[in-house]
Amino acid sequence: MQHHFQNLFGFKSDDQISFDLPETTRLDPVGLRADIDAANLSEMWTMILTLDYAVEDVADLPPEKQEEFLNVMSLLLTAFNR
Amino acid sequence: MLTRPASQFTELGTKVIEQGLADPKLSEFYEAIQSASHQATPSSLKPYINYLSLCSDKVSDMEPPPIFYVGRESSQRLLFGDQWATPQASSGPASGLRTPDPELEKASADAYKAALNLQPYYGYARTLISLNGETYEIAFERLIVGINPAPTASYQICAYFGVIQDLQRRL
Repeated sequence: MQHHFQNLFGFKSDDQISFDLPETTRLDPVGLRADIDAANLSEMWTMILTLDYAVEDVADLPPEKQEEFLNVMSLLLTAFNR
Repeated sequence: MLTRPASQFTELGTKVIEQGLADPKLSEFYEAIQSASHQATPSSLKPYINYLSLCSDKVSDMEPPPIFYVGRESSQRLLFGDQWATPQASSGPASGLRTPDPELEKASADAYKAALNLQPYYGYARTLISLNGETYEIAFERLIVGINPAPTASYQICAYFGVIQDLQRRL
């Protein structure tokens, strides 16, 4: 998957900055949800999913959005040291 | 001649918002969270989620809490770019997502402490930031509020609404 960015400074992704995400790094939604529940952060899973992505179940998201959401949840665990 | 310190972080207080002197969208967000029983709730975030950055309650004297969510239109995403805002889990920062300028991090910590004491923080900042080997002067206003995700939750999150007012490259 190619990622591109441009910020206020006008830095744009091109060949040097875009990158490919290896298949092996994809997050497992079931395992991550279990980690979130075990960390008592379940409210945040529901909150971000419904407020930003407007779905009730992560399985209802297209693959790219699902991956984006799961990365946010992974950051959530890190942000709470869990 | 006017002399200015290189960096200035000033709390203006939320009365400035009530007096109509803040950014209109930021003011709208403030009004929404105030009308939600005088406490920010997850549902009060809905219309504004794209403009917010969300972080945990793990603040220290030296650093604001780590960020876990950066809205699509948030000032931090506009400033630091999409790649910073969406690190891949496998290669992401082990200590959580933080802004790329350590001085900016240190100067921001107190505002988050106030917000986590359920006192919304509204202030103005003008400072230098280093990005990609270049120095920029940035001026921004920011509102930070603490939120209880649920009545039974044992933690808080902080919602950051920033508005960039000026951005100049230092030569």
